[in-house]
Parts: sequence; structure tokens; C-alpha cells
Amino acid sequence: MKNKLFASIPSIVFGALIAIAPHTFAYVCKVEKMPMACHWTAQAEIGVGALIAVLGVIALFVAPQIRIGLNIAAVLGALLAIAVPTVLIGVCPGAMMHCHMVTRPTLIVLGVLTIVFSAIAIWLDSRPAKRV
Amino acid sequence: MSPHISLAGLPLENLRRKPFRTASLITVVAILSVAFFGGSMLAMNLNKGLTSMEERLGADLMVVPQTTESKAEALLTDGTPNTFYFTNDIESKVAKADGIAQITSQTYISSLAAACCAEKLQIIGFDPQTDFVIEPWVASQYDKTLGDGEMVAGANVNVSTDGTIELYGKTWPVVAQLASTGTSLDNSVFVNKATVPQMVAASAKVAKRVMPQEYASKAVSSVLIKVQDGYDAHTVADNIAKLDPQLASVGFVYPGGVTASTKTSLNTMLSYMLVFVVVLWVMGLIVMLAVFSSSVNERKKEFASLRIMGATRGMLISIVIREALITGLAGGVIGVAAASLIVFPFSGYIGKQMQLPYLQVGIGSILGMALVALVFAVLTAAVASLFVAFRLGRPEAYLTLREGE
Amino acid sequence: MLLEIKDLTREFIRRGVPFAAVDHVNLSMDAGEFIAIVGRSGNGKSTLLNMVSGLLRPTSGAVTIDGQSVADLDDKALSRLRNRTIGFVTQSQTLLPNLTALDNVILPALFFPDDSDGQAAGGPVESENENAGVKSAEPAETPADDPDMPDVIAPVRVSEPTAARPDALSTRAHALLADLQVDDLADSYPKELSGGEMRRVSIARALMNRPKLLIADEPTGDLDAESTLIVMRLLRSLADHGTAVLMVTHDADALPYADRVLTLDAGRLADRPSR
Repeated sequence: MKNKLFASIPSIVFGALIAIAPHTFAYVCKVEKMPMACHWTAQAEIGVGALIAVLGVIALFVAPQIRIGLNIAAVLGALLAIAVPTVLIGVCPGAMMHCHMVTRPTLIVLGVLTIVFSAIAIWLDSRPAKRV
Repeated sequence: MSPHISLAGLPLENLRRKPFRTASLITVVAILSVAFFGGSMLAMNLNKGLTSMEERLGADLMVVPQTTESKAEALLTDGTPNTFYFTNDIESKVAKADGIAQITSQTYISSLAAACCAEKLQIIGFDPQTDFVIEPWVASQYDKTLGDGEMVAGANVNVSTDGTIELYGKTWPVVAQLASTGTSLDNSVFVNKATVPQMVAASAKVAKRVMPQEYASKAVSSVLIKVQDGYDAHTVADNIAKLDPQLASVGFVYPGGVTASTKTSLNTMLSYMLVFVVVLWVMGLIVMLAVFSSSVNERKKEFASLRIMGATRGMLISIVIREALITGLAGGVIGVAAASLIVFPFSGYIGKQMQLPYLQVGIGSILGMALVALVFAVLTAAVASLFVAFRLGRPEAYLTLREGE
Repeated sequence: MLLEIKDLTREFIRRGVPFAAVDHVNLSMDAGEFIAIVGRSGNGKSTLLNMVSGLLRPTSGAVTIDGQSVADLDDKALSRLRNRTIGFVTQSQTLLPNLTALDNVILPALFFPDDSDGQAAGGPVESENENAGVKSAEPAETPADDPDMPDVIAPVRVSEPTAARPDALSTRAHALLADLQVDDLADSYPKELSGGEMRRVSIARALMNRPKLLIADEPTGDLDAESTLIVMRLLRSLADHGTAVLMVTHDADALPYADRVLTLDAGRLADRPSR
């Protein structure tokens, strides 16, 4: 039970945060004349975040072996969540722009946390069930 | 079947079989480490920002228009871009005052929050012939004289890949980009005086003209003065004010004073932070002492049975100390990692919120501080467990298998 | 003489009045002797045993074990004596809660690892015990380090495991547990065991280092008749093979196995009056 929650709840929470952060508390620059990179980053993160969250939801209902696979997928999704604002799409280049200063680090931190927690979940689920 | 227990593995087994207690202790240590490491990083970055600001302030005295002193100070520390200027030729008048070693003037223009993906910039026009403030600094990056229309950009200015920036609908060549200073100078571009009228003209085409065209060629925002040896900046300011009734009402900014007041507010902030960390540390130590001392009672029987089996006092103490060291190290690593996740990615945001010069220190200092934080975490846990070790060191203190018990 | 107790006294202060829990006790034991001490609780039995094992300092008198005066030993030497020469089965449950039954039994063998070589000669337990059922024949395990153990903790006292040692310890521990018919519980934690099972595991632990003197405080305390039989036959067999056994008990069923029965009444030791 404990392992199951560990393998699912963090993915659901961080996935949801990755999806909504660029649209709420870690907002990107408003679209004025034309949409900027950070706008597309925000759009892409909806998909990446939702993917991670759904992996977490599925992990609630499946066997530990499958949860390992789901968490590996969540790690890869989190890497994508980090890659989008850094290398794939990017944010506005201005160092003092909100998307550069807040959105990108927020997404990086959320991605790192997802990876850390998923790695712990993989470790917990792959441990032999002795001495419990 | 797993390999059997070893004496070295016993502390780890004890921690593993008490997951709640272990997790609580690690959490306490982690919180202390976050405060310690995060606080130290902030302090170091602020100090580096201040040092960098001091290095950038080559002038002893700035003469600025009446009531614009605070804007000028903001320019030196960490403020938003501004436009202000004298509408008459003030430099030559000021230059007559007694006690001036060097004198130069600068013009400050705030750019518009320009088009796509650009932000408001501070445009600083300086005079390469007389300048003694910016040129030495620019010289480290660019050893030729700045040509008309050319720019030197601050560290945070977004220069496009072809080495230009777009301002007022015009593309300007950037010949050099400066290292980060942690001050608002990082959001500035530097041009020579002759470029200023070009910029004013360009601004008129795309939006509101930044200053009337008739002033563009002669506007001076600030006269920067290096005083002669033996003269005080305030004395020179008095001399200037006495020269001419027109000069009686100008504003004076003392960059040394700005540094001093920044230092004061920095020190205030640092002392608050220090108090906070110390209070947290004491509280954490008390919590850990409480947990450890309650665990002594809980574990009396365990220790007594180890003694009966023939464990020396040293072995018991070493078990307790090693449990504490593992806890401290785990908490320290988690704390440093957590603090790093905040301090480093959000460095720019923190710097902006601080309203103080903020400059990230180098990787060597970071690693050194991380190491100090880990040692600090381990020591904290060890100090807390010394109490237990002390009680175990007393003969027979934990012997519970006495008659009638 | 393996154990020599001379004029041993220990006073406690109860409600401001000193009283002797153990009062001028004299006792000698030879190797292979099996002595039972009976007496009501509160009559100084545990105090006596704690002084014999050096856990408690006497007010006066002396204990000599295997030629060493307990009072003269420093902490390390005394610990080594407790670890190597004495096996102590306590009255209350003293298994370590964080270790499996098997690890609990092995633990005492790890405290002074340098001594173990001299003790390798076969003890009585493996060689013969009619209750021993199937001799445990555990396959040799690879002497690998615990993979969960982080590198940061340097092994402090444990010398590098030689190729054979971990096997030897596990094998011996399993054999002891098998002799006491609790080997199937080797991987269980103490809280998963019944009182009788824990008692038998602690007897196995006390025997791990092949003690010359086994001290047993109510060894059959929570045991049913069948378990009592197993334990008492084992103790008798140990005595027959040269281990001195000093047992304190209430249990009349346990007494016939002893060579001598003494009584401890108000701290005074005496031969049991014949019935």
C-alpha cells in the first residue's frame, strides 16, 4: 500500500503542477503582438504534465512490476518537462523576463522532484519483499 | 536469504527498523541544512553583489538634476531604468569648482519595453574622451574605442546571435558584452555620446520621443567627479553649489554613501538571517535532543542486552554515534539538495526580489559551502547524540535487569 | 574451579534503609557442573547473577571466573569475559527488536572477532543432541557484504570477512536454532515470536560463543512442558560436555536435571533441605 502511494501520488501531484504552473503561479509572458517561445512552452507543458499525472493515476491500479515501468516513463516524461523550457522550445531570452526568471526554474525544479520521487518509487518496488 | 548482520551494519538496521523515528530526525536535520546552506548562499551572493557594485563605482560624486537623486542611486544598485537629464550645459560649469581631479558626464535614457522578447533597458551614454568610470570596465572586454552607433551590452541584455540588438525599431551592433555585476548595470547598454541623438531620433519614429530633439545632443543626466586627493566629496559638493546660483539646487549623489547604505541594509538583512538560522538551529537541536533522550529510555533494554552479550561501552557509544552520523549525513544531503533546488534555478528571481546587488558566487565557493553545510549537519546530529552517548558511558546507568524490575 | 564466589554481598537502599539483596554468599563451580538455585522472586537471585556476570558491582566479596577476578577487570576485559566465557540467558526478553532471530544469535560472535579462531573446536551442541531433529544443512552462502550498506560507514570492528567466516557463523547459528527447534523462525523478527520462541532464541544466542559458564535466569519461565523438555535436555547435555551451568528457577520440572540444588532466601544461599 505504501509503495503504491509512493509510486503514484508524486507523479499525479507534480504532473498536475507541471501542466498548470506556466498558466498560473509561474505564468509566462502574455501574448501581445505575436506568441513568444514561452507561450509554446506553456502549451507543451500541459501535455507533458498531463502525461505524467495520468501515469500516476494508472499506477494506482496496477501490479508493482508494472508500476516500475510507469515510473520509468514518468522519469522520461520529467526529462521532457525539463527539456521543453531549456533546449526544445525555450523561453524568452531576456534574463529579467518572468518566464525566464520564474517559469523555467519552476519547471526544472518540478521535473527534478518528479525524477527523484519516481526513482525512489522504482527502488521501493524493485526491492525484494523480504524482511518487511 | 541475506548475508548475516555485521557490527557495522547494526546502526543501519536500527535506523531501518524505526522508519518513523529515522524519518523525523532526518527531516529535522534537512530543515536545518536548508536554512544553513540556503542562508549562507544568499549571504555569499549578496556580498559578492556588493563587492561587484563597489568595483563599478569609480566616481566619488555625482551631480544630478534636482530631485532625481533616488533615481540615480537606483541606477547604481538595483532599480528600474529611468530617463532624467539637465537641460543646460552643466559639465563645464561644474568643472570650475575647486577640488576636482577628473570629470565626465553621462546621459541616461530608458528604452521602451520594446517589441518581442525584449525588456526595458537602461541606455547609458558616456563620453569616451573624459570617461574614467565605464571605460576601464569596458576595456576588460573591448580594447578599441567605441564607435558611433556601436554598443557595449550588460550581462543580462539579450543580444541576438548575429551580435545586434533591436531598439526603437533599429538594429544596433553590439561590440562587447560585459560580465555580470549583480546591479542594474547588467540591464544597461553603453553608447558614446554621439550615439545619443541617433537614439533619440530613432525613438521619435516608433513611439513617444524620449526627450525633445533640441536637447538630444547636449543633454547630460549626471556629471561624475573624481575628487582630488585631500578633498572630501561633500566639500567638493559644497564648492559646486557655491559656484553659481543655478547650481545651488542640483542634487548630489555620493556613490560611497550609496555603497555604505547598501552595506547597512545588507548587514541588517544578514543579521536577521543569522538570528533566524541560530534560532532554528537551537530549536532543531532541542527537538533532536528530545527524540534522542526519549529513545534512550525506550532503548535501555536494548543497550542492556548488548552489554550482557559482551558489548563494551565503546561499542554502544559507537553504535549510537554512527546512527547519528548516518542520520546527519542523510539529512544534510537532502537539505543541501533541497536548498540548491531553490537557490540556484531561482537565482534571478531572488536577486530581483532582494532589491540589492545579487551575484551568484562561483562553483568552488558553492561546493565549499555545501561541504561546510554537510559537516554542520553531521556535527549537529553528533552533538545531539552525545547526550545519549554520555548516559551510556556512565557505568550501570542503563542496567534495567535488576532485582524486581 | 571455573567459578568461585567468596563472601559476596550487595546492599541496596530501600526506603532509606539499607538491606542486603545478596548476603555473604559463597559458591564454587567446576566445569561440567550443573547447579540450580531456587528461591522466591525478590530474594536476590537476579542480583547474584548480575554480579557473577560483572554487570553489577558487589558491595563486598569477590567473584572469580576462569581464574580472573571480575572486580579487577576493566570494561573491555570484562566485556570480553561476558562475551567469550559467559553465556547469559536473561529472565526478561532481551532480543534486539531490530534484528532477525538469526542475526540476534550471530551478533555476539561479532564483538570480539579475533577470538573466534581459538574457539572453533566442536562444542557439544552440534555433536550430539537427541532432540536435534534434522541437522540444518544450509547451503554455503556467498560472503558478500550487505548490498544495502552504504559505503560511507566504514566497518569499525569487523575484520574483513574471510571466505569461510560468514558461512561458519550462519551455519552455527542455524544449527543452534535447529537444536532448539526454532530454525524455521530464523528470519522472523522478535515481535513476531511467542514468549517461548523468544526464550529459545535467546538460549541459542547465549550458546553462540561456546561459553564455559552458562548462566540461565528462569530459562523455562514461559515454556510449555514440551519446550521445557527440549531446553532442559540441552542444558544437561551442555553440562555433560563440560560447560558449567548455573540456573535460577522456580520450575520444579527443571530441578531434576541439575547436579546440585541450592536455595536463596533473603540473600542467603544454602543447600536445599532434603525433602
